[in-house]
Amino acid sequence: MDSQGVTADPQLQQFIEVESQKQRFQQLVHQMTEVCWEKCMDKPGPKLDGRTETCFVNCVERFIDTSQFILNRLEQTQRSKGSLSESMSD
Amino acid sequence: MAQKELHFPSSHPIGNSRVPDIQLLKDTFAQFHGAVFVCTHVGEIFIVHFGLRMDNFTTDYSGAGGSGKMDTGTIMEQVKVQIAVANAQELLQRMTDKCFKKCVGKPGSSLDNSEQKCIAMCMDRYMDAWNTVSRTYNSRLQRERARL
Repeated sequence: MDSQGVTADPQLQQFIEVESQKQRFQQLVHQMTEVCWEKCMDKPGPKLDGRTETCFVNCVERFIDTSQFILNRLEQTQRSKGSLSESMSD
Repeated sequence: MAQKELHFPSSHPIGNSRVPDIQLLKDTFAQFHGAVFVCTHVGEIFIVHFGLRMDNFTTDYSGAGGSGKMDTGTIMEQVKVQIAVANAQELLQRMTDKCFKKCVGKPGSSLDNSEQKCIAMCMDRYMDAWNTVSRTYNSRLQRERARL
């Protein structure tokens, strides 16, 4: 089998990229569902009531906000203090 | 909101059906030797739980045992199926974990009626939660993309 042929196949390349992105999305959904379940669900009832649903929605939004906050602050810290390893060895 | 948990290409007979034809599923997955099928009805979604031996994840895609060049389309379809299976397994694993924690106190010699009812409700709520999270995250991503 021509291994060069497989990796050079642009259709396969694109397929891999698309599927990888879908998987990253799926993984995060699994992760956030688990985390938010702990925060929002007390006793499972016969249906998902409005308050609980709102909690899940807020939870997802705040999780993403947290992630962005961390990235931004890390970037700021690195810019002002030089490299992170410098500031960590203080 | 009904959402298919197992993705089959729409060209595949299973692709658009909500109720899985078990025999068709078995035929489709015949290459996964030793697969065990447990069908669970969760809300509007039928989830088929696959028990697979770990070595099946290194399945020889050529089918005929390395006869030569593989068709790209076949590879893509097989990979999609494996991804769908992995996702279903992950979902079931997390759901089992959460519902065991919520519904089973001190473990007895069997699952009593109240525990079973709780687990059934818990499964449905977990699916509702999963769908809500998926929808919300998707909207958020689209909003972020629109900002750029």
